[in-house]
Amino acid sequence: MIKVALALLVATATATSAADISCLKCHEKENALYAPSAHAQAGLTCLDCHGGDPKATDVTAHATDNFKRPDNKKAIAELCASCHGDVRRMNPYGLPTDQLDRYKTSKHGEQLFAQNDQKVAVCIDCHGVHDILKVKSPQAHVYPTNIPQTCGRCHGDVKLMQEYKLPTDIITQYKSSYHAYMVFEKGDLSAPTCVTCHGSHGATPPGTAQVGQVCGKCHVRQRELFEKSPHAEAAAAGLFNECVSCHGNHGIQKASVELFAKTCVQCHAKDPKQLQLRDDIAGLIRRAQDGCSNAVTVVHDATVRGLATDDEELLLQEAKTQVTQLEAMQHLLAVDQLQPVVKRSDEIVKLTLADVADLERIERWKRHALTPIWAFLALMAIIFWAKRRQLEQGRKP
Amino acid sequence: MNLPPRIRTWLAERLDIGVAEKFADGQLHKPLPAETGFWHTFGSLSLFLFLNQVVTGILLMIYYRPTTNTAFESVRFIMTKAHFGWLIRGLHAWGATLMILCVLIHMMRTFFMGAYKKPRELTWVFGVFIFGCTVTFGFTGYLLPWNQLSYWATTVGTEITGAIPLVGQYLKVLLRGGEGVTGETLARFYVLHVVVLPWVLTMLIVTHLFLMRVQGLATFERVGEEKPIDKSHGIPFFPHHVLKEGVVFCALIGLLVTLILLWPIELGEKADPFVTPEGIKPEWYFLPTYQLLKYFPKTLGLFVSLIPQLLLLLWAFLDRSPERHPKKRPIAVSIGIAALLLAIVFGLLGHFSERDITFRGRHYHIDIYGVPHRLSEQPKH
Repeated sequence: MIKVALALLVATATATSAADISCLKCHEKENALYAPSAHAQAGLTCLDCHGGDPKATDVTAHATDNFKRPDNKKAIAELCASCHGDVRRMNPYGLPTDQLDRYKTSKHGEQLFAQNDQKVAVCIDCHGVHDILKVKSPQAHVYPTNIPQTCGRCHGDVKLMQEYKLPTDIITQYKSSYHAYMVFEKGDLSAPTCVTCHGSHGATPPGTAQVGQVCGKCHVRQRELFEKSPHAEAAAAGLFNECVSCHGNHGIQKASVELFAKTCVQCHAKDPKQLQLRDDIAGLIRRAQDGCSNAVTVVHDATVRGLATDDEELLLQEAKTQVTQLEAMQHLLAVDQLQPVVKRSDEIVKLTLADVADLERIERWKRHALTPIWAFLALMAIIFWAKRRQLEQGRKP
Repeated sequence: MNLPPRIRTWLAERLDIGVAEKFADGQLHKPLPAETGFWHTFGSLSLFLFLNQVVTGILLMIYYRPTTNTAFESVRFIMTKAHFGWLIRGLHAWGATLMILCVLIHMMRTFFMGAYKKPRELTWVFGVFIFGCTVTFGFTGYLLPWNQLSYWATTVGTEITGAIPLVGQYLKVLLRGGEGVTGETLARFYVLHVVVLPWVLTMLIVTHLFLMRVQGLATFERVGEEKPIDKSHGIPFFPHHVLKEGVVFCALIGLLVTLILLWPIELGEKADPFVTPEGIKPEWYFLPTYQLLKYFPKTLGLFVSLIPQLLLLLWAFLDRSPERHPKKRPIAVSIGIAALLLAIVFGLLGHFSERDITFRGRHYHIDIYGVPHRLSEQPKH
């Protein structure tokens, strides 16, 4: 029984590693990259992509009809799709099978398949060749934190991008953005990288008409309110590039009230009515933000001092919700709709501050206890002192 | 001792209470030297504060939870929800500070009045150990609220242990329960603070009191020339001296309550190992040592800071002069005053170092060595 098991074990090992061993004779470097890859973990060998003769131990291994060394990017895309487009093969791994179809709709794919442009990115340019790792592996070229670097290999290449008349500072811009701050500083992998807005396999720059939809995938409420604003009409008429006109794109910064001063004048510099509306909206937001921020400081100080601020912290959460709501609601450009929210925020802040003032009043009230305490202690001390003096006098001869 | 007759009879039928009564009477009415004054009450005040620490400590233990997830929250609960929790914590925290102060004053009184001399050297040694134990209480207790200040002060404090040659690193890991200050450190400090140190200090205090009672209080008479105090000339411990202590106790309780109400102990912010706050300073009683360590390389500094402690411990054996009165001991008294002034100067330097201050309209930055540097503009913080 043991002999049979051992024989089976040896036979299995021989069968699966034979191809590798013959390829390895010359391709040690490739194997070092391949060993930790997702394909190696799935049990694929060199033969699965390259074919060839697994028994040959020299260059004759390449001399077979089925040997492949794709030197054409179209062939590479099709070779990858021969497995990754096969539903039956991809099902166990839960992977989609429409990558090639999506790729063909991308700018990369269009250039490759329509114009046979061999300089555009294909599967291996982003995922790697032998060293392809699972997307969720932090070392993968397509892991969220590595995406800007992966895209930047081509889109930061001045010589290459000149041919397509594309800018090369977009990666630098992105790295200075709030989105990048969220990804790299805060470790929020759900924050956008290149592929979140442009797509991955179907990578294409969103046109003016689609920008709002792209941003609206995450900023749902802002998009919804923008659609109801006068700006939506201007955007539909092509006068206005939705989100991008005010917020920018790759180098997008955290939106603040200061944005009003910088952006509104781009279109409304000579329109005092619109500038007044801008000032009204900015004033309301600033009022709510300052009120909330002041309350946060007051409550924090009280908490640090050891006062019971649980209820006030809950109130603050409500005030913060109002401010967050306000920041989204300003896309409506309707002062009358912002005012009730600001009023509610003001009320909560007022209530919070009044509560903290009550807590502080109790603290001050405690200090009044010092007077009776000291009076009692002084009385006791006088009694002790007097008694002691009486005893001392009694002891004197 | 006047027990109610029924209780006395009940006890007498079961025990030889005559011996106990005789001992209690002897202790209670033991005559004290005529020069026993208010300075002599600081020993009793220290004992009273120790008892305060035990009682308030037990009450705090009811709600305190010594884990990294619950320590800060439980202290917050004590301060905000538990009935009079703020008062109990205030009594404990300010009581600790006052206890260290009272022990220090008691030691200074003993030093300047020459009360440590033969035959009371051992009483002095036990007193020095009591002081060390009290300070260790303060160090271990400081971490327990698990706030930013306590966390980082403990990190700095335990880091010093690592400077001891050969065994330093091992001791540091032993103290912390790992490389950093973590929940393991909190557990260790908690056990030290509530189990080990209270018993050690109790034993030390009992021994110290026993020696003090057996040998009696020192007078200003020269070593070997002390005369027994007879009842007609001495001050009876009870009620005369106890009444004097009563007066001082009233002042102490008043001071304690005033400190609690006017300068309440803060809760602070929860410890965050990833955010180092600015201006981390140890408690005031560690400030002189903290400042001294800055002027020397790590290991050398540690040895230099050990010198005053060793001198304190061995002083009773080093000072061989038979005189007790401070006026007749100019060298010892000068050394004592110089040491005290040095401690105050180093303490102040430690307190003001690494700060921006404004003095007479001019702005200065005090560097880590305590040297002021003029600033051209007003400091932001």
